[in-house]
Amino acid sequence: MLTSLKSKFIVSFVSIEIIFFALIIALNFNSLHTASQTLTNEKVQASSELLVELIKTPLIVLDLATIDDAIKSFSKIKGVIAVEVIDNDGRTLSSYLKKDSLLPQSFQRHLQEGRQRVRYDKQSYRFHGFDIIVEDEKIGHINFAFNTTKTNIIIQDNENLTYFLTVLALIIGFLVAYLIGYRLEQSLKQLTTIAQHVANDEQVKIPHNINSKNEMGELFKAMHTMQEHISQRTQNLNHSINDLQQFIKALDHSAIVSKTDAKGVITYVNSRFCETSGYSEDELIGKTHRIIRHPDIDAGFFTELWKTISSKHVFQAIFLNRNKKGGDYYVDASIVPLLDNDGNISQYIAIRYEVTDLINARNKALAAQKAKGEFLSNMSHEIRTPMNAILGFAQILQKNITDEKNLSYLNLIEGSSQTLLHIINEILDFSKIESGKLVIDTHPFDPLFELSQASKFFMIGARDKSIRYLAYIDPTLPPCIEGDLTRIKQIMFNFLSNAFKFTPENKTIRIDVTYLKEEETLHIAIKDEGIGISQEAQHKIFNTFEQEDSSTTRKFGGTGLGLAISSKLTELMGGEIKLESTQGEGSTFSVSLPLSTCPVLEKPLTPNQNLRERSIGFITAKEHDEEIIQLIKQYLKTLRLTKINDNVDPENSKDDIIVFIPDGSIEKKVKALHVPALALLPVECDLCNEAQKIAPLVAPYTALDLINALNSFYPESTKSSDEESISSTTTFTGTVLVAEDNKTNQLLIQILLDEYGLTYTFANDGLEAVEALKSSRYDLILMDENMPNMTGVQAVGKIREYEKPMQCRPTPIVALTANVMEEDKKRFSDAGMNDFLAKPIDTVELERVLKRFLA
Amino acid sequence: MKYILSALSLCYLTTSLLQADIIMGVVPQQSPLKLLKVWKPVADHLSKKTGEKVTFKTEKSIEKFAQALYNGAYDFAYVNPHQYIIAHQKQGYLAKIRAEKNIRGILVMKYGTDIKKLKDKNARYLFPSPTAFAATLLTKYDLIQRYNVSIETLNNAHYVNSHDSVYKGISRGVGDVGGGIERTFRNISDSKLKNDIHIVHVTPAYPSHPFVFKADMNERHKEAIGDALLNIPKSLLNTLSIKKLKKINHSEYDSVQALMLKLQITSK
Repeated sequence: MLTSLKSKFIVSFVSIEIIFFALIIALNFNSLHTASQTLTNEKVQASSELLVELIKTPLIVLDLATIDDAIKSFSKIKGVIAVEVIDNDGRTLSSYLKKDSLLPQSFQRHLQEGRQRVRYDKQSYRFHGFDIIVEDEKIGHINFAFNTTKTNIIIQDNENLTYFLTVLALIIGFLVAYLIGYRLEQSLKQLTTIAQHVANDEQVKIPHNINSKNEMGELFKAMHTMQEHISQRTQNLNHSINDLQQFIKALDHSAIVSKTDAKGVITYVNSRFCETSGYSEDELIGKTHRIIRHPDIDAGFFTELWKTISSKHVFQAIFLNRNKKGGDYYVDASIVPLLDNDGNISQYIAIRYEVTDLINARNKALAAQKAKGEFLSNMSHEIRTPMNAILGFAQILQKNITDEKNLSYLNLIEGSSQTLLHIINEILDFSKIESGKLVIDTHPFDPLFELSQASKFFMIGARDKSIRYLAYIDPTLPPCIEGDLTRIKQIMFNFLSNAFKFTPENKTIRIDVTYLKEEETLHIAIKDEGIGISQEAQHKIFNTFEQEDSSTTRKFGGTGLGLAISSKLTELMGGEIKLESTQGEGSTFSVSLPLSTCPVLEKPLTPNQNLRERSIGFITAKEHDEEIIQLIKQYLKTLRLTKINDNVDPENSKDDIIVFIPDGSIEKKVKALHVPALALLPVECDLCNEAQKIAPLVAPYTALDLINALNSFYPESTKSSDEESISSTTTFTGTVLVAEDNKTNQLLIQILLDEYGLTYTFANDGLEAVEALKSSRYDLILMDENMPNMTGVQAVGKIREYEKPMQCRPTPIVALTANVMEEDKKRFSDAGMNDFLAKPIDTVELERVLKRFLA
Repeated sequence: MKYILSALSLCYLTTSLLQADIIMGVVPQQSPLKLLKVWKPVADHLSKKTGEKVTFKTEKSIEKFAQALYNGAYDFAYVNPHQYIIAHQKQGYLAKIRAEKNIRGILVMKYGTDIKKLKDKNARYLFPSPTAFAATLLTKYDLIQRYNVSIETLNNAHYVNSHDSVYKGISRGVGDVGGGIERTFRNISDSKLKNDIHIVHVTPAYPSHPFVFKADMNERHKEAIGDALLNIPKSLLNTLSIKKLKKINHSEYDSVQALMLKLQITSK
């Protein structure tokens, strides 16, 4: 009966009402009765006491008239029915009895019977009597009778009213509860119906009032909103399902799809699976994927596969399958575990694409790549080996031939060989770039020294072409920065090479090298006054094999690889290459490379302290090259040698150092000053005389040369020149073992080692080298790679094996080979070789190696 | 307008200030309530007639009243003859007006009580006050003269303050014999009471209660009050139970004085 919300609500509400009203009534009535009793008692007590006080004195003197008057006044009090004053003899002295109230005999009877409360003839009476005492002596007695019926009636009326109102409140409460319960029930029924319709995905209109503020209204509004959201979501879901079905359809056409249960048993395959594998659906369902497993694949692969997917990760790989007919095919597979609502794996789905053709193509490409690499390596080796002889002997002859004519021919041979070598190197670099094997080798270097030296490489070419060549290498470059110096110089040489190629006589080429400390960036800019490049050509000039046009190639030569390689090298070093050019006016090629500074290895080259106070006077004339003078002044200011005097009179100069441009007239005056002087010149310097302290500062007028010259004028006692001599008069001590099969190369190496004063032994192959080492001790081994009987790498392995148990310092072994590919270098290093020298032999490199390993 | 208002205010103020407050005392022969009911209208009449403010005053008991009178508390008063004699002696009060009718004392008893009780030495006597002239003094004198009953020696008298109390006391058995006067007996309003007691003896007549005026009372006021009293409306006289008032002088009360001497009543 009390299952429904409505009945529960009504019963609860009414029960609570009844309980509370009952409590209120009980308490109220009790209080009312008590209050009424108390008030009545107090009234009776007070009024009777008052009367007694009033009649005490008249009673004493028996002034009955006064007593009567007092009683008469007293009788006017509401409720007073009777009063009787009796003397000690029992005589009624004065009395009052309200008309039509108690009968006198009833009054007397009740008094005698000692009743205090009497209900008589539907009236309630209260009797009260007490002795009148004066000075502890009883002088009389007084009796009262009060009619408390009215009070009782009032109480009764109040009670009745309370009962009535209570019943009314209960009825109203019941009705209200019923109404609310009914409406609530109706609303809930309506909501239930709506919810059922919504659950059954049936259309139903939800009534709602957007302005409603009560809870039910809010609920209906919420239901309506929910319905709209569900409808929208269902629509979106349907769209998604539709899209998904389209995707599945598309997938089915292109991909091999299968599903398995959590244990890997196939539960679904699509048609592509059957086509590719050659098995029918019936043959596949219920089986595992072992059915298409290729026997050549290691079991460990599948162990790894299962471990990955069973740990809820996606497995992806390309591997071989075998079809029903025994044929092989490659698939690119993605196996995805599908999770249920509890996060456990319920099934797996595998989506595969057949990539057999791709794999085969890849393998072919790899093979071709490998073949190409091997070809290039071999070609490089085969070309470089004879090149080594050509260049090496040309350089030796250059030192020995004095005949100008033959020397000029030799220079041509040497120059052409260098060109050919350069072309081969570019081709090799290009190949490395194409195969992604070009590696940037970062190491610390002194940029001021290295780039100053590098800039001087073109000074002879500048002199020969009568090109004004200036180099501003910032003297405040960090003493050490980290980068691939070889590649940086390659870019610089490429730019300079192009600049010298495309700049006519009497024009200017200027190189600027600066470093921005905040950005840690090295900037190299080469500005020429050459033919310039058209806007159209500027876009493609960095592309491989592109020159401005074919006429450029015919006129100026070149492979078209230089700028492409420079661009790639810049990109690999994280830098930026820029070109600004105006056709007919010239070009500026610049490169910015992010290179961080490093701890200084050696103290950088700076002007001696004693130069700070020296004054430097410039003797110049109008026709002199102002740009060169400004360049020198810029250097001096940067080096904080600020005591500069301009337009010094050569006959009256008081300066400590003179800077001048020889023009045929000034030289004698300068000599007469007998102070150190710096002559700004192209290469030669006839008048330069160390004794007379006139030093040349030749193009490109590097800061390095300036500092060295100034320091030489005023050397400090403990300081010696930091400039390294690369003269061939350097000698070494030690015995060198040379493993080289080519006789020509042996001869070349012999000549070079003789120049350094070294003793040496030749081995014709790796095997001989190993035997030689076992019989004798060597300070250095120069090892060729491609030799009969035993290659260089094999020989090194044997030597290291021999040396290991002997616990002596391993003999330094340097590869001396035409195999210059990166993988070759790595192979040599892995084999145990300590350094690498490329063929053709660079004497600078040779000297470096000798310096490194010999005394 | 404002001048008129000022003049009227001044007149009223002056009148108020000039208006005398004349105290009229009345011997409390009945209960104070009854006295007020009867004598207030008289005072009002007198005020109206004289233009002066006449205030009615009395006391709870005849003794107290007598004391106040003897202290000169009243400008004029309605007193009993005995009180007049003493008041005259003490304060010089002079009797000017009295009812034409003489006063006689009465003795009352409850119906059914043996008349012989009158002579019973054990009877309980109720009198209004010891100095009530007719109700007490005259009746006591006659009790001695006629019935050889000396109340003073018997010491069984109760003085119950008012004539009404006497009558009620007799009716309710508090006393056997009570002293009163004809007028107050006639004035009993309670018919049951009136029918319960009866007069058993009447004393000889003496001059009735006079209106006495204090010696130092303003003559003009005296004149005015006297005139007003003599011209009091009949209705008021009826409430006083007086038929007519007449002018008198002190010599009217010589007989009273002689009586008092006989009773050795002094002004204590």
